[in-house]
Amino acid sequence: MAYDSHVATDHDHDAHDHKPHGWRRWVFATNHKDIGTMYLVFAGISFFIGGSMAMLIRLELFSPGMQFMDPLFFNSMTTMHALEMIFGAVMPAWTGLANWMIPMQVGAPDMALPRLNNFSFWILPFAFTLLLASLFVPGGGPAGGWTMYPPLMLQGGASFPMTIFAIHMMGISSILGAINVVVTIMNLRAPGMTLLRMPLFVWTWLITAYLLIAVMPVLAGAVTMLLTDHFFGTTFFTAAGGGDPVMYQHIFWFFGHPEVYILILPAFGIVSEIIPTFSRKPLFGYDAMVYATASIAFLSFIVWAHHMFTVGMPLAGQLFFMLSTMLIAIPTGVKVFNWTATMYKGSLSFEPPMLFAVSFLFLFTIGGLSGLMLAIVPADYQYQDTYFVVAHFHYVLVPGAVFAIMAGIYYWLPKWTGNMYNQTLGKWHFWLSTIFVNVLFFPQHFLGLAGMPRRIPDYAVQFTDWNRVSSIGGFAFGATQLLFVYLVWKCVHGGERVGNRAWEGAHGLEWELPSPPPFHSWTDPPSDALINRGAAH
Amino acid sequence: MALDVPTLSDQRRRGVRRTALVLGFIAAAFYVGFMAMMIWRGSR
Repeated sequence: MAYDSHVATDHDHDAHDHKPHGWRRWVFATNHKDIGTMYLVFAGISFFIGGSMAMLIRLELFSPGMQFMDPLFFNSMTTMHALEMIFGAVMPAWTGLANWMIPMQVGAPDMALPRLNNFSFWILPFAFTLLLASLFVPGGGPAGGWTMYPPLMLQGGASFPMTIFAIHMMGISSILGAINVVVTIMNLRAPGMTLLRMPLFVWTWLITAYLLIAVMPVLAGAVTMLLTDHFFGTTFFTAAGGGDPVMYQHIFWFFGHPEVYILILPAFGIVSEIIPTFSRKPLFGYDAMVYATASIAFLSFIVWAHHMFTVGMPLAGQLFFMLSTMLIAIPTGVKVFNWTATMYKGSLSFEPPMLFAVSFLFLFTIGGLSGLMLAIVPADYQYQDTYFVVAHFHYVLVPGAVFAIMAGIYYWLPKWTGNMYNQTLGKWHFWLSTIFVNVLFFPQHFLGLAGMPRRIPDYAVQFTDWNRVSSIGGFAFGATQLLFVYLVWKCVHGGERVGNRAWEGAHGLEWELPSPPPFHSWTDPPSDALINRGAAH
Repeated sequence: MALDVPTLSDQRRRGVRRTALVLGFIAAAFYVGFMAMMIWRGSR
């Protein structure tokens, strides 16, 4: 599988690799690879904290009636699980991958703003410590759901301002990280790396970064208004003072829907890297993929009210938001068909990254199709706030975003470490994850269609069977992820050595560097010949 | 803290500074402006 290992010896600066050592290397890190590693480790820790909360939720829902926890704590768990997974696991994992890969993929020596990069990362542990600490203050943790709708959220105890402050910190971290990504891509690309020669992962991240800069301030504004309503006597969302709680929902979802694409667009980029590699064919329709990504990002700004059809809105509003939502299926369909066309008549092989990418293709599409069902206004009146919605967004986020993150790690781990991991174990991890993620989430469609509401610790007895199946799937899925930790740990500490090009079909500048890459890569910009060889689309 | 990164040419450094300042200004304007506008409108 190893390719020639001499291609980039002229770029091998091992002799000049003056790495800082000890704790200073990490606390004062300015190297994009170190900061990328810290983001990924942080995301992994958050994934297991948020996952433990999911286990508690599924434990309580294993049987009808109240089993292990009081309803307030259950609601805290659903709220914190979502905040941990969205802001603590998936977003930092993408930023970690961006830090590691974007400079190497565009031929840049590092991220453009290394000190800001350090600051962006180190905000996060403080933000999440604050958020998790809110579980232990009088009144318990935030329990109003990750959407933090008033008036429920305003009834929170001491955890309320802590949550708001934590969200501000996460938002600032995301904005600074996004600025760094845009500045790096726009200014530090190697000469010859034109925009339409950039790898798709870089493109999707560029668009994601613009989305982040545009919408994170909206979230900050919304939660600040909650704060002033609670502490400073304003009545933005309090009907008694002339405010309107529905206005919060509009503002929140103006952030919230683009946020969904912030979580998934980089996944499209990763899958667009992996499928061509293991199909041994160029990506089908590169330009169309770029334009489809941009279209999805644009449309994400004009669909927000599909999250709130049942609050009551004019028919014209319902029609607009229904039809604009359905429009998203077109660029998304372009992507799904292009990935399929890339595989068509390809010389396919199914190593762990490809397995996760193909699984993504099938299972994300299931999540997309249930999203189309939810976009239909009259149908949404039935589905709103049921487990059908829970099933839908978990299909998008778990076998969608999380599988793509795993696919990316499986794809680039040999590059990062210089070692090939145990592929048999990786395949076991894949099959167990894919089977159990479906056991976990598919029955939730049935529960939702039968009328089981979301965010409740108790339920009517007719929902017992599918809840038990779902819980068993959840426990097994959670346990399976320990395999992944073991596999990564083993790979970091040794394994069969790989050459520059760990996968024979891989194209791109990162594969021209040694494995592992030197501490400072592309200190001399790559030549046109290398860029041409990488831009195989 | 010591900045352990390769040096950039002056031209690139200027480009980085310009793009970062523009984006930083936009983000700060959004961040502060959105909150200020809402609070101002809410207090009328």
